[in-house]
Amino acid sequence: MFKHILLPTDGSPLSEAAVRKAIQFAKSINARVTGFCVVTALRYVGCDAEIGTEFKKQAEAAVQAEATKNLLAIEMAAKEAAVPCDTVQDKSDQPYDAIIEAAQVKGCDLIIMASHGRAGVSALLLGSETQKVLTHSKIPVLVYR
Amino acid sequence: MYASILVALDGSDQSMFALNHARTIAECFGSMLILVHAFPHTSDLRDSIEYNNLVALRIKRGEEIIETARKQLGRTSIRVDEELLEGPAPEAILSVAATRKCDLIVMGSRGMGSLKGMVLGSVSTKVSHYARCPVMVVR
Repeated sequence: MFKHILLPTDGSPLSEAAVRKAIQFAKSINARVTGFCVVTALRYVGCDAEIGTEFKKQAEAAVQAEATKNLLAIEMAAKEAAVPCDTVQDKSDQPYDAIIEAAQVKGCDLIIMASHGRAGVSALLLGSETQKVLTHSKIPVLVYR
Repeated sequence: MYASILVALDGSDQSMFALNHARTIAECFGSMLILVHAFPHTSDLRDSIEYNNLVALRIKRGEEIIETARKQLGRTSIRVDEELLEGPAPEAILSVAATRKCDLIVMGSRGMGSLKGMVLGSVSTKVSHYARCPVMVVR
């Protein structure tokens, strides 16, 4: 059975719901979890020169803080369920790539993620990052909706 | 958490991995396993004289696939049921999942499709898009 589950999150309500279910699942099968959050670089296309470094620094710090908050939520939920947990943050422009790499580096044997993230359920039946993780992962992926 | 788990079988090695994973999950949660095989639909040949033979052949092959899966499960305490039906496979899998109110679908990432380069097969792609329940794609 699975021993170590990677839980990628982007802090969206769907991904938080998936994390809650995943922690229940981990508890039932005595697995540990690693929370994972990707910080993507902020881009100021076409207006890079006009935006001050101070603003950029603040924006970056805000994004960073958001990721830390998302991971803290996983940590708390895992602690409450008495599931061993650690967390990893990574900078990347390709979240799916970072997710697959993190699973490999951490030696995870399962990835659990939500069907959709921040972009929501509006247009696609399966979120683009989830689709890409499903396509490229070498280990099993469990998609919650 | 998982009362009934659907395993999609097409006779490929990957679908056997899926079966193994589904089995361990079922044992852990006391779930019922539903083995599903959908054979290719042949209705386009309905007028041909060979139609009944062809369908009979596909049903026979399907029964073999399910039988192999049951053998692989061996003696087990989990409840196992089966569904053998005419495809297309994604629609068949999804309809069984819906009517039987499955809590989880476990399937291989790619099965018997002939495109070796495909990393995620068309059946797993469709099922993971349209399923109403969680889907586990196994490699």
